[in-house]
Amino acid sequence: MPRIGLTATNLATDSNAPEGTLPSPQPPSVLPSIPGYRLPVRSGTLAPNEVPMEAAVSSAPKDGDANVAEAANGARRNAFPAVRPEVPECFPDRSPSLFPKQEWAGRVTAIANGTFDARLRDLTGGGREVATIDLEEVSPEDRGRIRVGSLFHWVMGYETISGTRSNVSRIVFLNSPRMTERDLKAGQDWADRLRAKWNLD
Amino acid sequence: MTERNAPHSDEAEVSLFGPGYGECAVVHAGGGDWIVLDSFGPPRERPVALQYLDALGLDPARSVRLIVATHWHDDHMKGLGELVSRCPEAHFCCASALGSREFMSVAAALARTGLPDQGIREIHAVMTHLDQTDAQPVWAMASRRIHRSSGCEVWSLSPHDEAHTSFLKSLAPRPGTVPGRGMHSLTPNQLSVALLVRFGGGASCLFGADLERRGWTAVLRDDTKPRCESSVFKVPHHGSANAHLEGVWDELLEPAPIAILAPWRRGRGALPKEGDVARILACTPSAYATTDATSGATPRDRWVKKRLGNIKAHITPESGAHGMIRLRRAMDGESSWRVDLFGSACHLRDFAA
Repeated sequence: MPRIGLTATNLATDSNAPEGTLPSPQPPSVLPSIPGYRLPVRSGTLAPNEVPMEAAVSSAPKDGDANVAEAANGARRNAFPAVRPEVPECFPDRSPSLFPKQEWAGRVTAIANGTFDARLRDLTGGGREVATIDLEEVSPEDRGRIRVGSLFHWVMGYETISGTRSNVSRIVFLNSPRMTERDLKAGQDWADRLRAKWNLD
Repeated sequence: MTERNAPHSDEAEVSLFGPGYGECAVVHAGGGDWIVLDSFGPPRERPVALQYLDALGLDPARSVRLIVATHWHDDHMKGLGELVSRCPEAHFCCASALGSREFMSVAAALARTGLPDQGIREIHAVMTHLDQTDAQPVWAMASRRIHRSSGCEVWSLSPHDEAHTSFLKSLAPRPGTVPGRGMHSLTPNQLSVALLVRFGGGASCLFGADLERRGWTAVLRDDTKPRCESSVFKVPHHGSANAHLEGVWDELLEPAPIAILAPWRRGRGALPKEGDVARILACTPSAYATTDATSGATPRDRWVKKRLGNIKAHITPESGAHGMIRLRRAMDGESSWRVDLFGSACHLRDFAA
Protein backbone atom coordinates (compact mmCIF):
# COMPACT_ATOMS: atom_id res chain seq x y z
CA MET A 1 0.00 0.00 0.00
CA PRO A 2 1.48 3.36 -0.89
CA ARG A 3 2.15 5.68 1.97
CA ILE A 4 -0.36 8.44 1.97
CA GLY A 5 -0.02 11.44 4.17
CA LEU A 6 -3.19 12.49 5.94
CA THR A 7 -3.55 15.88 7.49
CA ALA A 8 -5.97 16.73 10.19
CA THR A 9 -7.97 18.61 7.61
CA ASN A 10 -8.79 15.35 5.92
CA LEU A 11 -10.30 13.77 8.96
CA ALA A 12 -13.75 15.10 8.26
CA THR A 13 -14.80 11.68 7.09
CA ASP A 14 -17.79 10.20 5.39
CA SER A 15 -20.23 9.43 8.17
CA ASN A 16 -22.08 6.99 5.93
CA ALA A 17 -18.99 5.02 5.09
CA PRO A 18 -18.28 1.77 6.91
CA GLU A 19 -16.52 2.27 10.18
CA GLY A 20 -12.80 2.60 9.87
CA THR A 21 -12.78 3.66 6.24
CA LEU A 22 -12.02 6.91 4.60
CA PRO A 23 -13.43 8.40 1.42
CA SER A 24 -11.88 7.07 -1.75
CA PRO A 25 -9.10 9.25 -3.07
CA GLN A 26 -10.26 11.38 -5.97
CA PRO A 27 -8.24 13.04 -8.72
CA PRO A 28 -7.63 16.71 -8.22
CA SER A 29 -10.23 19.01 -9.64
CA VAL A 30 -9.17 21.31 -12.40
CA LEU A 31 -11.19 24.08 -10.86
CA PRO A 32 -10.37 24.92 -7.28
CA SER A 33 -12.88 27.77 -7.44
CA ILE A 34 -15.72 25.41 -6.66
CA PRO A 35 -16.96 26.23 -3.18
CA GLY A 36 -16.01 23.64 -0.62
CA TYR A 37 -13.79 21.67 -2.91
CA ARG A 38 -10.46 20.51 -1.61
CA LEU A 39 -8.16 17.68 -2.38
CA PRO A 40 -9.05 14.95 0.12
CA VAL A 41 -5.77 13.05 0.16
CA ARG A 42 -2.36 13.40 -1.37
CA SER A 43 0.56 11.14 -2.06
CA GLY A 44 4.10 11.47 -0.88
CA THR A 45 6.22 11.20 2.20
CA LEU A 46 5.11 12.35 5.59
CA ALA A 47 5.64 15.88 6.70
CA PRO A 48 6.58 16.45 10.34
CA ASN A 49 3.04 17.22 11.42
CA GLU A 50 1.44 14.39 9.50
CA VAL A 51 0.51 10.89 10.55
CA PRO A 52 0.43 7.62 8.62
CA MET A 53 -2.98 6.75 7.25
CA GLU A 54 -3.13 3.46 9.14
CA ALA A 55 -2.70 5.21 12.45
CA ALA A 56 -5.18 7.88 11.59
CA VAL A 57 -7.78 5.37 10.56
CA SER A 58 -7.46 3.47 13.81
CA SER A 59 -8.62 6.49 15.72
CA ALA A 60 -10.70 8.23 13.12
CA PRO A 61 -13.94 9.73 14.40
CA LYS A 62 -16.93 7.41 14.36
CA ASP A 63 -20.43 8.26 13.29
CA GLY A 64 -21.75 10.98 15.49
CA ASP A 65 -18.38 11.78 16.93
CA ALA A 66 -18.58 15.51 17.40
CA ASN A 67 -15.02 16.03 18.46
CA VAL A 68 -13.03 15.48 15.33
CA ALA A 69 -10.11 17.35 16.83
CA GLU A 70 -9.81 14.95 19.71
CA ALA A 71 -9.86 11.96 17.41
CA ALA A 72 -7.23 13.46 15.20
CA ASN A 73 -5.04 14.24 18.18
CA GLY A 74 -5.37 10.63 19.26
CA ALA A 75 -4.14 9.52 15.88
CA ARG A 76 -1.13 11.77 16.20
CA ARG A 77 -0.27 10.50 19.66
CA ASN A 78 -0.42 6.88 18.49
CA ALA A 79 1.73 7.54 15.50
CA PHE A 80 4.38 9.72 17.07
CA PRO A 81 4.07 9.37 20.81
CA ALA A 82 7.28 11.25 21.51
CA VAL A 83 6.47 14.17 19.33
CA ARG A 84 4.07 17.03 19.99
CA PRO A 85 3.49 18.50 16.55
CA GLU A 86 2.36 22.05 16.17
CA VAL A 87 -1.36 22.32 15.75
CA PRO A 88 -2.15 23.99 12.43
CA GLU A 89 -4.08 27.24 12.60
CA CYS A 90 -7.03 25.78 10.78
CA PHE A 91 -7.38 22.91 13.22
CA PRO A 92 -10.04 21.63 13.79
CA ASP A 93 -11.40 22.01 10.27
CA ARG A 94 -15.12 21.59 9.82
CA SER A 95 -15.28 23.41 6.51
CA PRO A 96 -17.10 21.54 3.77
CA SER A 97 -15.19 19.17 1.50
CA LEU A 98 -16.53 18.14 -1.90
CA PHE A 99 -15.64 14.71 -3.22
CA PRO A 100 -16.38 14.67 -6.95
CA LYS A 101 -17.65 11.49 -8.57
CA GLN A 102 -18.35 13.00 -11.98
CA GLU A 103 -17.19 16.22 -13.59
CA TRP A 104 -17.96 17.93 -16.88
CA ALA A 105 -16.80 21.09 -18.60
CA GLY A 106 -19.68 22.61 -20.53
CA ARG A 107 -20.62 25.35 -22.94
CA VAL A 108 -24.13 26.72 -23.31
CA THR A 109 -25.48 26.40 -26.84
CA ALA A 110 -29.11 27.47 -26.41
CA ILE A 111 -31.52 28.75 -23.76
CA ALA A 112 -35.26 28.17 -23.97
CA ASN A 113 -38.31 27.25 -21.89
CA GLY A 114 -36.62 27.24 -18.51
CA THR A 115 -33.79 25.02 -19.70
CA PHE A 116 -30.45 25.44 -21.41
CA ASP A 117 -28.68 23.18 -23.87
CA ALA A 118 -25.00 22.57 -23.56
CA ARG A 119 -22.15 20.65 -25.05
CA LEU A 120 -20.26 18.74 -22.39
CA ARG A 121 -16.78 17.34 -22.15
CA ASP A 122 -16.73 14.46 -19.69
CA LEU A 123 -13.71 15.15 -17.49
CA THR A 124 -14.16 11.87 -15.61
CA GLY A 125 -14.75 9.24 -18.25
CA GLY A 126 -13.76 11.15 -21.39
CA GLY A 127 -15.97 11.70 -24.41
CA ARG A 128 -18.35 14.39 -25.57
CA GLU A 129 -21.99 14.71 -24.67
CA VAL A 130 -24.88 17.09 -25.07
CA ALA A 131 -27.37 17.98 -22.39
CA THR A 132 -30.56 19.83 -21.70
CA ILE A 133 -30.40 21.13 -18.15
CA ASP A 134 -33.15 22.77 -16.14
CA LEU A 135 -32.28 26.28 -14.97
CA GLU A 136 -33.27 25.17 -11.47
CA GLU A 137 -30.09 23.12 -11.37
CA VAL A 138 -28.11 26.36 -11.35
CA SER A 139 -27.89 28.52 -8.25
CA PRO A 140 -30.01 31.70 -8.44
CA GLU A 141 -26.81 33.79 -8.23
CA ASP A 142 -25.37 32.11 -11.31
CA ARG A 143 -28.49 32.08 -13.45
CA GLY A 144 -27.85 35.65 -14.60
CA ARG A 145 -24.55 34.49 -16.07
CA ILE A 146 -26.13 31.92 -18.37
CA ARG A 147 -25.76 33.06 -21.96
CA VAL A 148 -25.17 31.24 -25.19
CA GLY A 149 -21.44 30.62 -25.21
CA SER A 150 -21.04 30.70 -21.40
CA LEU A 151 -18.65 28.15 -19.96
CA PHE A 152 -19.35 26.18 -16.82
CA HIS A 153 -18.03 23.41 -14.66
CA TRP A 154 -20.42 20.76 -13.37
CA VAL A 155 -19.52 18.53 -10.46
CA MET A 156 -21.57 15.71 -9.03
CA GLY A 157 -20.37 14.12 -5.87
CA TYR A 158 -20.86 14.24 -2.17
CA GLU A 159 -20.00 16.84 0.33
CA THR A 160 -19.16 16.44 3.97
CA ILE A 161 -19.70 19.17 6.48
CA SER A 162 -18.68 18.34 10.03
CA GLY A 163 -18.93 14.68 9.22
CA THR A 164 -22.37 14.89 7.67
CA ARG A 165 -22.53 13.74 4.09
CA SER A 166 -24.87 15.04 1.44
CA ASN A 167 -25.10 14.50 -2.30
CA VAL A 168 -24.47 17.52 -4.45
CA SER A 169 -24.78 18.54 -8.07
CA ARG A 170 -23.13 21.89 -8.53
CA ILE A 171 -22.91 23.92 -11.73
CA VAL A 172 -20.54 26.85 -11.54
CA PHE A 173 -20.37 29.35 -14.37
CA LEU A 174 -17.01 30.78 -15.27
CA ASN A 175 -16.17 34.28 -16.31
CA SER A 176 -16.37 34.20 -20.10
CA PRO A 177 -14.12 36.31 -22.23
CA ARG A 178 -15.86 39.45 -23.41
CA MET A 179 -15.60 41.11 -26.72
CA THR A 180 -14.08 44.54 -26.32
CA GLU A 181 -14.16 47.61 -28.51
CA ARG A 182 -10.57 46.83 -29.41
CA ASP A 183 -11.54 43.32 -30.57
CA LEU A 184 -14.35 44.74 -32.65
CA LYS A 185 -12.04 47.37 -34.18
CA ALA A 186 -9.52 44.68 -35.11
CA GLY A 187 -12.37 42.64 -36.61
CA GLN A 188 -13.55 45.64 -38.63
CA ASP A 189 -10.04 46.26 -39.94
CA TRP A 190 -9.80 42.62 -41.00
CA ALA A 191 -13.22 42.76 -42.63
CA ASP A 192 -12.43 46.02 -44.45
CA ARG A 193 -9.15 44.68 -45.82
CA LEU A 194 -10.68 41.42 -46.99
CA ARG A 195 -13.78 43.03 -48.47
CA ALA A 196 -11.57 45.44 -50.43
CA LYS A 197 -9.54 42.48 -51.67
CA TRP A 198 -12.76 40.72 -52.71
CA ASN A 199 -14.14 43.90 -54.34
CA LEU A 200 -17.14 43.95 -52.05
CA ASP A 201 -17.06 47.66 -51.25
CA MET B 1 -23.62 -3.60 -46.31
CA THR B 2 -23.22 -2.52 -49.91
CA GLU B 3 -19.72 -2.27 -51.20
CA ARG B 4 -18.35 1.24 -51.08
CA ASN B 5 -17.06 1.66 -54.60
CA ALA B 6 -16.75 4.94 -56.48
CA PRO B 7 -19.55 5.79 -58.91
CA HIS B 8 -18.97 5.56 -62.64
CA SER B 9 -18.07 8.74 -64.42
CA ASP B 10 -21.59 9.04 -65.89
CA GLU B 11 -23.34 8.11 -62.67
CA ALA B 12 -24.84 10.72 -60.36
CA GLU B 13 -24.59 10.18 -56.62
CA VAL B 14 -26.18 11.92 -53.67
CA SER B 15 -25.00 10.73 -50.26
CA LEU B 16 -26.24 12.12 -46.97
CA PHE B 17 -24.41 11.53 -43.68
CA GLY B 18 -25.63 12.20 -40.14
CA PRO B 19 -25.03 10.82 -36.65
CA GLY B 20 -27.94 12.53 -34.92
CA TYR B 21 -26.09 15.80 -34.50
CA GLY B 22 -24.36 16.80 -37.70
CA GLU B 23 -25.19 16.78 -41.38
CA CYS B 24 -23.16 16.56 -44.55
CA ALA B 25 -24.10 15.74 -48.14
CA VAL B 26 -21.69 14.65 -50.85
CA VAL B 27 -22.70 14.79 -54.51
CA HIS B 28 -21.02 13.24 -57.52
CA ALA B 29 -21.71 15.69 -60.33
CA GLY B 30 -20.38 13.36 -63.03
CA GLY B 31 -16.96 13.17 -64.61
CA GLY B 32 -15.24 12.66 -61.27
CA ASP B 33 -16.32 16.07 -59.95
CA TRP B 34 -17.68 16.21 -56.40
CA ILE B 35 -19.66 18.75 -54.42
CA VAL B 36 -19.81 18.86 -50.62
CA LEU B 37 -22.65 20.52 -48.72
CA ASP B 38 -21.87 21.32 -45.07
CA SER B 39 -19.57 19.35 -42.80
CA PHE B 40 -19.35 17.34 -39.65
CA GLY B 41 -16.88 14.90 -38.20
CA PRO B 42 -16.78 12.60 -35.21
CA PRO B 43 -14.70 13.93 -32.28
CA ARG B 44 -10.99 14.00 -33.08
CA GLU B 45 -11.60 12.68 -36.59
CA ARG B 46 -11.42 14.26 -40.02
CA PRO B 47 -14.56 15.66 -41.64
CA VAL B 48 -16.78 12.82 -42.83
CA ALA B 49 -16.67 14.03 -46.46
CA LEU B 50 -12.89 13.62 -46.53
CA GLN B 51 -13.16 10.18 -44.92
CA TYR B 52 -15.73 9.09 -47.49
CA LEU B 53 -13.79 10.28 -50.53
CA ASP B 54 -10.65 8.66 -49.14
CA ALA B 55 -12.59 5.42 -48.69
CA LEU B 56 -13.60 5.57 -52.35
CA GLY B 57 -9.95 5.94 -53.29
CA LEU B 58 -10.39 9.52 -54.47
CA ASP B 59 -8.17 12.51 -53.79
CA PRO B 60 -10.32 15.31 -52.35
CA ALA B 61 -7.71 17.85 -53.41
CA ARG B 62 -8.40 17.00 -57.06
CA SER B 63 -11.98 15.85 -57.10
CA VAL B 64 -13.95 18.36 -54.98
CA ARG B 65 -15.09 21.34 -57.09
CA LEU B 66 -17.56 23.07 -54.82
CA ILE B 67 -18.08 23.30 -51.05
CA VAL B 68 -21.25 24.97 -49.79
CA ALA B 69 -21.84 26.14 -46.23
CA THR B 70 -25.62 26.34 -46.09
CA HIS B 71 -25.58 28.25 -42.77
CA TRP B 72 -23.35 28.48 -39.73
CA HIS B 73 -25.08 26.30 -37.14
CA ASP B 74 -22.58 24.06 -35.36
CA ASP B 75 -24.17 20.84 -36.59
CA HIS B 76 -23.47 21.83 -40.21
CA MET B 77 -20.05 23.36 -39.76
CA LYS B 78 -17.73 21.06 -37.84
CA GLY B 79 -14.48 20.59 -39.75
CA LEU B 80 -15.42 22.99 -42.54
CA GLY B 81 -12.12 24.87 -42.25
CA GLU B 82 -10.15 21.64 -42.64
CA LEU B 83 -12.37 20.52 -45.51
CA VAL B 84 -11.80 23.74 -47.46
CA SER B 85 -8.06 23.72 -46.84
CA ARG B 86 -7.83 20.10 -48.07
CA CYS B 87 -9.71 20.89 -51.30
CA PRO B 88 -7.75 23.62 -53.07
CA GLU B 89 -9.57 23.05 -56.37
CA ALA B 90 -12.97 23.71 -54.81
CA HIS B 91 -14.86 26.98 -54.82
CA PHE B 92 -16.36 27.88 -51.47
CA CYS B 93 -19.92 29.15 -51.43
CA CYS B 94 -21.98 30.69 -48.62
CA ALA B 95 -24.81 33.19 -48.21
CA SER B 96 -23.94 36.66 -49.47
CA ALA B 97 -24.81 38.17 -46.09
CA LEU B 98 -21.74 36.46 -44.66
CA GLY B 99 -19.64 38.78 -46.79
CA SER B 100 -21.13 41.83 -45.14
CA ARG B 101 -18.85 44.07 -43.12
CA GLU B 102 -21.09 43.53 -40.12
CA PHE B 103 -20.84 39.75 -40.12
CA MET B 104 -17.16 39.57 -40.99
CA SER B 105 -16.23 42.11 -38.31
CA VAL B 106 -18.06 40.26 -35.59
CA ALA B 107 -16.81 36.85 -36.78
CA ALA B 108 -13.21 38.10 -36.66
CA ALA B 109 -13.75 39.75 -33.29
CA LEU B 110 -15.28 36.54 -31.90
CA ALA B 111 -12.34 34.52 -33.19
CA ARG B 112 -9.96 37.05 -31.62
CA THR B 113 -11.60 36.88 -28.21
CA GLY B 114 -11.88 33.10 -28.30
CA LEU B 115 -15.62 33.21 -27.67
CA PRO B 116 -16.76 29.71 -28.39
CA ASP B 117 -19.09 29.54 -31.34
CA GLN B 118 -17.86 26.73 -33.53
CA GLY B 119 -19.95 27.58 -36.58
CA ILE B 120 -18.75 31.18 -36.76
CA ARG B 121 -15.19 30.12 -35.96
CA GLU B 122 -15.26 27.71 -38.91
CA ILE B 123 -16.55 30.40 -41.27
CA HIS B 124 -13.81 32.73 -40.06
CA ALA B 125 -11.21 29.98 -40.55
CA VAL B 126 -12.43 29.44 -44.11
CA MET B 127 -12.30 33.16 -44.92
CA THR B 128 -8.81 33.39 -43.45
CA HIS B 129 -7.75 30.45 -45.61
CA LEU B 130 -9.27 32.04 -48.72
CA ASP B 131 -7.41 35.26 -47.91
CA GLN B 132 -4.12 33.38 -47.63
CA THR B 133 -4.68 31.54 -50.89
CA ASP B 134 -5.96 34.60 -52.76
CA ALA B 135 -9.30 32.96 -53.41
CA GLN B 136 -12.72 34.36 -52.67
CA PRO B 137 -16.15 32.93 -51.92
CA VAL B 138 -18.98 32.43 -54.35
CA TRP B 139 -21.95 34.26 -52.86
CA ALA B 140 -25.27 32.45 -52.73
CA MET B 141 -28.56 34.30 -53.09
CA ALA B 142 -31.97 33.64 -54.52
CA SER B 143 -32.05 32.13 -58.02
CA ARG B 144 -28.34 32.28 -58.74
CA ARG B 145 -26.36 29.65 -60.61
CA ILE B 146 -23.31 29.08 -58.45
CA HIS B 147 -21.67 26.20 -60.30
CA ARG B 148 -21.70 24.54 -63.68
CA SER B 149 -19.77 21.59 -65.02
CA SER B 150 -20.26 19.14 -67.87
CA GLY B 151 -22.38 16.87 -65.69
CA CYS B 152 -24.47 19.26 -63.61
CA GLU B 153 -25.34 22.76 -62.56
CA VAL B 154 -26.07 24.06 -59.08
CA TRP B 155 -28.47 26.90 -58.25
CA SER B 156 -28.93 28.64 -54.93
CA LEU B 157 -32.62 29.34 -54.30
CA SER B 158 -32.18 31.35 -51.10
CA PRO B 159 -31.66 33.51 -49.08
CA HIS B 160 -33.89 36.22 -50.43
CA ASP B 161 -33.39 39.96 -50.07
CA GLU B 162 -35.76 40.24 -47.13
CA ALA B 163 -33.82 37.66 -45.09
CA HIS B 164 -30.55 39.33 -46.07
CA THR B 165 -31.73 42.77 -44.96
CA SER B 166 -33.27 41.65 -41.69
CA PHE B 167 -30.07 39.78 -40.89
CA LEU B 168 -27.92 42.86 -41.39
CA LYS B 169 -30.32 44.89 -39.26
CA SER B 170 -30.00 42.35 -36.47
CA LEU B 171 -26.23 42.82 -36.50
CA ALA B 172 -26.36 46.59 -36.16
CA PRO B 173 -24.96 47.69 -32.79
CA ARG B 174 -27.55 48.96 -30.34
CA PRO B 175 -26.85 51.58 -27.71
CA GLY B 176 -25.82 50.12 -24.39
CA THR B 177 -25.12 46.62 -25.64
CA VAL B 178 -21.83 44.79 -25.71
CA PRO B 179 -20.60 44.73 -29.32
CA GLY B 180 -21.31 41.42 -30.96
CA ARG B 181 -23.47 40.06 -28.20
CA GLY B 182 -26.48 39.98 -30.50
CA MET B 183 -24.62 37.52 -32.69
CA HIS B 184 -25.49 34.64 -30.40
CA SER B 185 -29.20 35.29 -30.67
CA LEU B 186 -29.21 35.23 -34.45
CA THR B 187 -31.05 32.44 -36.15
CA PRO B 188 -29.05 31.56 -39.23
CA ASN B 189 -31.81 29.27 -40.50
CA GLN B 190 -33.36 32.32 -42.14
CA LEU B 191 -30.17 32.69 -44.17
CA SER B 192 -29.96 29.03 -45.16
CA VAL B 193 -28.87 28.33 -48.69
CA ALA B 194 -31.36 25.96 -50.33
CA LEU B 195 -29.87 24.40 -53.44
CA LEU B 196 -31.12 22.89 -56.66
CA VAL B 197 -28.73 20.43 -58.28
CA ARG B 198 -29.60 19.54 -61.88
CA PHE B 199 -27.78 16.57 -63.34
CA GLY B 200 -27.21 15.79 -66.98
CA GLY B 201 -30.03 13.58 -68.22
CA GLY B 202 -32.68 15.62 -66.46
CA ALA B 203 -32.67 14.40 -62.87
CA SER B 204 -32.50 16.99 -60.15
CA CYS B 205 -32.28 17.20 -56.36
CA LEU B 206 -33.57 19.84 -54.00
CA PHE B 207 -31.45 20.38 -50.88
CA GLY B 208 -33.52 22.17 -48.28
CA ALA B 209 -30.71 23.02 -45.81
CA ASP B 210 -32.41 24.33 -42.62
CA LEU B 211 -34.58 26.81 -44.48
CA GLU B 212 -37.82 27.42 -42.62
CA ARG B 213 -41.33 28.15 -43.84
CA ARG B 214 -40.84 31.89 -44.37
CA GLY B 215 -37.84 31.26 -46.57
CA TRP B 216 -39.71 28.63 -48.61
CA THR B 217 -42.58 31.05 -49.11
CA ALA B 218 -40.12 33.47 -50.71
CA VAL B 219 -38.69 30.66 -52.87
CA LEU B 220 -42.16 29.74 -54.14
CA ARG B 221 -42.95 33.39 -54.94
CA ASP B 222 -39.72 33.85 -56.89
CA ASP B 223 -40.46 33.83 -60.64
CA THR B 224 -36.80 33.84 -61.62
CA LYS B 225 -35.87 30.45 -60.21
CA PRO B 226 -35.23 27.55 -62.59
CA ARG B 227 -38.33 25.56 -63.43
CA CYS B 228 -38.03 21.88 -62.66
CA GLU B 229 -39.44 19.22 -60.36
CA SER B 230 -36.87 17.31 -58.34
CA SER B 231 -36.92 13.59 -57.75
CA VAL B 232 -34.86 13.80 -54.56
CA PHE B 233 -35.57 16.10 -51.61
CA LYS B 234 -33.21 16.64 -48.71
CA VAL B 235 -35.93 17.51 -46.21
CA PRO B 236 -35.21 20.90 -44.59
CA HIS B 237 -34.41 21.45 -40.94
CA HIS B 238 -34.23 17.77 -39.99
CA GLY B 239 -37.90 17.22 -40.81
CA SER B 240 -39.19 19.95 -38.50
CA ALA B 241 -42.77 21.17 -38.97
CA ASN B 242 -41.50 24.77 -39.07
CA ALA B 243 -39.80 24.04 -42.40
CA HIS B 244 -42.74 22.28 -44.02
CA LEU B 245 -44.74 23.92 -46.78
CA GLU B 246 -47.17 21.96 -48.92
CA GLY B 247 -46.35 24.17 -51.90
CA VAL B 248 -42.79 22.91 -51.92
CA TRP B 249 -43.97 19.31 -52.32
CA ASP B 250 -46.56 20.33 -54.91
CA GLU B 251 -44.53 22.70 -57.06
CA LEU B 252 -40.85 21.91 -56.66
CA LEU B 253 -40.91 18.10 -56.41
CA GLU B 254 -42.05 15.17 -58.49
CA PRO B 255 -44.94 13.18 -57.04
CA ALA B 256 -43.65 10.81 -54.34
CA PRO B 257 -40.00 11.85 -54.53
CA ILE B 258 -37.24 10.23 -52.52
CA ALA B 259 -37.02 12.17 -49.27
CA ILE B 260 -33.83 12.00 -47.20
CA LEU B 261 -33.08 13.64 -43.89
CA ALA B 262 -30.49 13.76 -41.15
CA PRO B 263 -32.12 13.65 -37.69
CA TRP B 264 -31.09 16.13 -35.02
CA ARG B 265 -30.81 15.33 -31.35
CA ARG B 266 -29.72 17.68 -28.61
CA GLY B 267 -30.37 16.73 -25.01
CA ARG B 268 -34.15 16.48 -24.72
CA GLY B 269 -34.69 18.12 -28.11
CA ALA B 270 -35.01 15.88 -31.14
CA LEU B 271 -36.10 16.13 -34.77
CA PRO B 272 -38.04 14.77 -36.53
CA LYS B 273 -40.82 14.27 -34.01
CA GLU B 274 -43.44 11.56 -34.33
CA GLY B 275 -45.83 13.92 -36.12
CA ASP B 276 -43.07 15.00 -38.51
CA VAL B 277 -42.38 11.40 -39.47
CA ALA B 278 -46.08 10.80 -40.18
CA ARG B 279 -46.35 14.02 -42.19
CA ILE B 280 -43.33 13.23 -44.37
CA LEU B 281 -44.48 9.65 -44.95
CA ALA B 282 -47.86 11.00 -46.03
CA CYS B 283 -46.04 13.04 -48.70
CA THR B 284 -43.91 10.16 -49.94
CA PRO B 285 -43.46 6.50 -49.05
CA SER B 286 -39.79 6.69 -50.06
CA ALA B 287 -38.34 8.52 -47.08
CA TYR B 288 -35.09 7.71 -45.30
CA ALA B 289 -33.17 8.90 -42.25
CA THR B 290 -29.42 8.75 -41.74
CA THR B 291 -29.80 7.30 -38.28
CA ASP B 292 -32.54 5.42 -36.45
CA ALA B 293 -32.60 7.79 -33.46
CA THR B 294 -31.41 5.30 -30.90
CA SER B 295 -28.41 6.56 -29.04
CA GLY B 296 -26.08 4.67 -26.82
CA ALA B 297 -25.68 5.73 -23.23
CA THR B 298 -22.35 6.74 -21.81
CA PRO B 299 -21.09 4.11 -19.37
CA ARG B 300 -21.02 5.58 -15.88
CA ASP B 301 -20.54 4.85 -12.24
CA ARG B 302 -23.76 3.50 -10.69
CA TRP B 303 -23.87 6.26 -8.11
CA VAL B 304 -23.64 8.89 -10.85
CA LYS B 305 -26.38 7.18 -12.91
CA LYS B 306 -28.69 7.19 -9.94
CA ARG B 307 -28.00 10.83 -9.19
CA LEU B 308 -28.54 11.81 -12.80
CA GLY B 309 -31.95 10.20 -12.59
CA ASN B 310 -32.85 12.53 -9.73
CA ILE B 311 -31.90 15.84 -11.26
CA LYS B 312 -33.53 17.86 -14.01
CA ALA B 313 -31.06 17.22 -16.80
CA HIS B 314 -30.98 14.97 -19.82
CA ILE B 315 -27.64 13.87 -21.23
CA THR B 316 -26.88 12.00 -24.43
CA PRO B 317 -23.65 11.22 -26.27
CA GLU B 318 -22.82 13.99 -28.75
CA SER B 319 -22.58 11.63 -31.67
CA GLY B 320 -24.54 8.46 -32.07
CA ALA B 321 -23.78 5.77 -34.58
CA HIS B 322 -23.81 7.58 -37.86
CA GLY B 323 -25.29 6.30 -41.03
CA MET B 324 -25.33 7.17 -44.68
CA ILE B 325 -28.03 7.22 -47.34
CA ARG B 326 -26.61 6.76 -50.81
CA LEU B 327 -28.56 7.39 -54.00
CA ARG B 328 -27.13 6.63 -57.42
CA ARG B 329 -28.43 6.70 -60.94
CA ALA B 330 -27.01 6.82 -64.43
CA MET B 331 -27.20 10.20 -66.14
CA ASP B 332 -28.94 8.78 -69.19
CA GLY B 333 -32.39 10.13 -68.45
CA GLU B 334 -33.90 6.65 -68.32
CA SER B 335 -32.72 5.29 -65.00
CA SER B 336 -34.21 5.72 -61.57
CA TRP B 337 -32.42 6.26 -58.28
CA ARG B 338 -31.02 3.25 -56.46
CA VAL B 339 -31.08 3.61 -52.68
CA ASP B 340 -28.44 2.06 -50.41
CA LEU B 341 -28.40 2.44 -46.65
CA PHE B 342 -25.25 2.15 -44.55
CA GLY B 343 -24.55 2.09 -40.83
CA SER B 344 -27.53 3.21 -38.76
CA ALA B 345 -29.46 4.67 -41.73
CA CYS B 346 -33.03 3.43 -42.00
CA HIS B 347 -36.34 3.86 -43.74
CA LEU B 348 -38.25 6.68 -42.06
CA ARG B 349 -41.05 4.31 -40.99
CA ASP B 350 -38.44 2.51 -38.83
CA PHE B 351 -37.29 5.74 -37.23
CA ALA B 352 -37.98 5.82 -33.51
CA ALA B 353 -39.07 9.42 -32.96
